[in-house]
Amino acid sequence: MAEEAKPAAPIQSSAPAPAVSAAAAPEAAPVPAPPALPDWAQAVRAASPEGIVAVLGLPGGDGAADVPTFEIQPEHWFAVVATVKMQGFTAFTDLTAVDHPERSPRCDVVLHLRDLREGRLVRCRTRVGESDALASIEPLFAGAGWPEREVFDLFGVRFNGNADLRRLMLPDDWQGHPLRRDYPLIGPRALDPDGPYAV
Amino acid sequence: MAETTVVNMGPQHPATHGVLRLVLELDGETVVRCVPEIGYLHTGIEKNAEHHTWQQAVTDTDRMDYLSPLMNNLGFCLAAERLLDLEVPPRCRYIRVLMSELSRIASHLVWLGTYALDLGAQSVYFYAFQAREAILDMYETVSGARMNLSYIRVGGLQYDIPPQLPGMVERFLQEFPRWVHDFRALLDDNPIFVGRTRGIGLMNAEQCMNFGVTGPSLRAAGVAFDLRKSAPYSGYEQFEFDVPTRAEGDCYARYAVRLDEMEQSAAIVRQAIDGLPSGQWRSPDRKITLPPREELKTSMESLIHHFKLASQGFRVPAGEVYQAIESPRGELGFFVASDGGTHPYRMHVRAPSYYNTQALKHMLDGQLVADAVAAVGSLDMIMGEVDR
Repeated sequence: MAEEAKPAAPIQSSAPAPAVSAAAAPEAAPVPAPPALPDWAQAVRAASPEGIVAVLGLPGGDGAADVPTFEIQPEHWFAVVATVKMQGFTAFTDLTAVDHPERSPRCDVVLHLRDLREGRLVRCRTRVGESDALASIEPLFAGAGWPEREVFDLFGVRFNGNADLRRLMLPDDWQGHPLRRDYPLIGPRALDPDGPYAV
Repeated sequence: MAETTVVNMGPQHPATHGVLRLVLELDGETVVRCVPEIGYLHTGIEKNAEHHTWQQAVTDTDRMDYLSPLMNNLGFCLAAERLLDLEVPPRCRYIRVLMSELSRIASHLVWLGTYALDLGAQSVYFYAFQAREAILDMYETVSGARMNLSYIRVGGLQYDIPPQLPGMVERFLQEFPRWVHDFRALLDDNPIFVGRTRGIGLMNAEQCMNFGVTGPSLRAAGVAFDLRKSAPYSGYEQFEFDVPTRAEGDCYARYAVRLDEMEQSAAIVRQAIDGLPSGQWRSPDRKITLPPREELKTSMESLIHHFKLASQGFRVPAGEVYQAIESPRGELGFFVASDGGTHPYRMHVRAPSYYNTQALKHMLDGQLVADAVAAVGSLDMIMGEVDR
């Protein structure tokens, strides 16, 4: 057991490493079992392994985050959110977006869900491009209706299946999507019919 | 089936508390369909915050929920402090809790007064606003402002509390039980109030979760969910208090929960003022908080820090964080992203009123149009926060 554990240990760059690790091996032997994802996160991953790019913020996950996070392929968005809901995250909390204009696809859509019984919070995130559409999760959570309209209004992300996808905050004839990072805060460019926000 | 009529309630209707517009489809006096329309108060606060430094963005948050501005300050500052990995001193945490709970009471008092007014009970309004005045006076004493305080800052507070504040809190706490007793005497068994609120505006726990309804409206549906208990922040785990709930899920239950909550908040205020630790009231980290005024005359380094902080602001490590607090209306969440610069890359506010207002499209189905006023008022929505 101890002999097998040695190659799995982090590769040492210097020559005397075998001697050092041989000395350390008896103590290190019980440790190597890597931390596993909690059962509920494993269940979500197993339900759509190709839909989940990464799991963050959990022991055994792929990285750090302030909240357990699933990075999701946009085409699997609805399916993965549905499995997360089945794991007890039944309270809709929040849906919003973050724009990264220098990146492609540029827009992060970020969803937060809660499990009120155990006080757990989870984040689902996906990336969509300027002209892509995402499946609406309104059939899963009635609360997603307005935030999806708001993200459509202020970021320009469309949601297929939202029952009433109109602008929410701004007038219907508004041009452009103000929460995009390259939309100016003030000035004529914001309303210029020939500018980058012309329809 | 009779022909239906479409009626606009608002956006200039006094019972919609601001500029909410409800498009009601009526069959006689029964609401067949309700479509809430918002956005009349959209001021681009989230966009503005991207163009302010982290410390300046605190002033943006005040203007959303203007009945409890301190809660907005607190949520944003906690989020920024988590990105900065900054711990504030115990005295600062206690003062934040003290002021938060006072603003929770003040906010519930405004709700109580205006809600009773909506339902035709005028005198409650004057008693409630009299009690609220005492809290606004405390706001003024600590920060100089009665609304939009920006008293809670990233890294601490604007000032330490002045010496006369504990006396004011003491006087308030002595009078408060009598005031609450008066409110209960005026409304608890008032046949008109009870008749207009019991069984009206029903929302059960499952519907609340589905719509993202939080706060007193969720607790009135029997779910004992309070972020101060389930995800404590700012040292709330050191305070003893109960989470009041009711099972009925109607307007009367929401009223009862809020009255109980005011009493619990008064108990927290009592613990905070009695146990107030001495010591520093803001982080001593000179890269984040301003140096004391006196030092500027003698220390070159302090002058440099002051100049850098006031002109450029501090840098916040890149990352994203979601920080939620329990505001008087429910879960107030700040999803804040930083790119390592001096300005927030993105500040999104998960406003509790926003989700509570959205639930109206379900709540009003099949109700009488006169009950719509009772149901809308019971959610305690602040349009500044809904529209941002």
